[in-house]
Amino acid sequence: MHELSLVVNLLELCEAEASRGGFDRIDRIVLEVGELSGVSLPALRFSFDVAGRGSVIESAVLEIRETPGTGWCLKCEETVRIREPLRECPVCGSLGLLPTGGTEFRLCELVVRDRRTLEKSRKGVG
Amino acid sequence: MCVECGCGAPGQEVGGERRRGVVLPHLHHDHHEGEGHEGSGPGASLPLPEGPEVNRTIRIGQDILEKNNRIARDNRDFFREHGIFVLNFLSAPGSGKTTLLERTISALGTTCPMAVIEGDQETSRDADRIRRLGVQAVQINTGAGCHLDAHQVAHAAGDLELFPGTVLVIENIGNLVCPALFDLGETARVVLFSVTEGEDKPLKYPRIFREADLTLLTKSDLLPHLDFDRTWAESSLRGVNPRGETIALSSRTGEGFGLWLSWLLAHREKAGSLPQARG
Ligand SMILES: Nc1nc2c(ncn2[C@@H]2O[C@H](COP(=O)(O)OP(=O)(O)O)[C@@H](O)[C@H]2O)c(=O)[nH]1
Ligand SMILES: [Mg+2]
Ligand SMILES: [Zn+2]
Ligand SMILES: [Zn+2]
Ligand SMILES: [Zn+2]
Repeated sequence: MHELSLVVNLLELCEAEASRGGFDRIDRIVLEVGELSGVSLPALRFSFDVAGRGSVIESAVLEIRETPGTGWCLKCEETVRIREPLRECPVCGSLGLLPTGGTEFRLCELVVRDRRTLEKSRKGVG
Repeated sequence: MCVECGCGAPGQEVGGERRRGVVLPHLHHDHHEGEGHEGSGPGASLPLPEGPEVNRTIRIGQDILEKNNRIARDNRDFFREHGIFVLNFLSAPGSGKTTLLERTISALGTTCPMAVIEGDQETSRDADRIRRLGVQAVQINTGAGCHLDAHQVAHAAGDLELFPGTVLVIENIGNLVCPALFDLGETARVVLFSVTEGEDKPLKYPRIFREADLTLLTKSDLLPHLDFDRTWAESSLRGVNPRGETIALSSRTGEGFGLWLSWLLAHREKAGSLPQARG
């Protein structure tokens, strides 16, 4: 269950953003999770619900964009599509693949909500 | 006290000269830069001012493990600058990491200074085993955590006396999955794979084997008693990791130790861990 510690890292990022951006609530969190990132999505969602309780991410919807796994086959000498867990080359069957895509685990964007933003912008306009 | 975690970890006093050897600087002092400190704590449920609520989107595009990666980079720079050769030992529980360390320490004797960071969920049994051999060891207990991270290693290293040329071994938590995701700032990764685990482990856990600089096939003394297919295991290792090296060894009989110790000493030299000869 390393997803729990991944969520703790995510929570720290969100908290840092919240104190930087001065917002109160996050409505939506968009993550990019690669097929080869070693992250299990059900475990990630479960950890998100458990670890997020009482925090700035509590009421957020978790949106996950999955990116496909790709690798460079040393034998075929081209980029091929690969999946967990074995990731053998679908063309020649060799395991000599260097991952080139799908290992991402990134926080892409946050949709946040606050009232102060509006007040600030009102003041700004005069 | 550490500003990252507020844990009051020892060995991190900035400018502290209480130790011999190099003193690990506070490796993660910059983490609050650029963050607001207006007291509006994260997650604090401040009453919202009146007025319609506004949604806005903040683009971030940051690796979620970036914090770990940043501390790992700092660790790595520190180790490199001070000529410390750092190995991250990874394996399933019981593959023989601590036993290998014990025999390695005895074999190297005083020719090579060593230090050990032991990671386990509970107890300091492994660190005690190492200290009994006269080698300094720090135990990290992760509790529910199933891997070590760079921040823990920064603290633990701060508790050790490290000199140029020291081989620092980090024995990670026994787990083939997530320790692979957490860079600790090591110079090289060594994965142990014991012959009692079944020859298909590299195929089942490709990520950890793929990133190994060296795979040690341990407990080779047991081979005559098992129907472990060594040729098949070694070819699947080459399949998932065409560039890594493999050495079979036994911490019981010492078979393969010559190869392992030469690997260790050669890579230590290559990493520039030996004090530069002057002249
Ligand atoms: N037969 C044999 N047993 C070993 C060898 N290395 C370790 N063991 C045994 O394997 C068990 C686990 O070893 P340990 O070093 O504690 O594993 P760790 O959890 O990876 O640190 C112990 O009972 C050791 O005595 C070996 O080379 N041969
Ligand atoms: Mg051990
Ligand atoms: Zn191929
Ligand atoms: Zn700290
Ligand atoms: Zn873990």
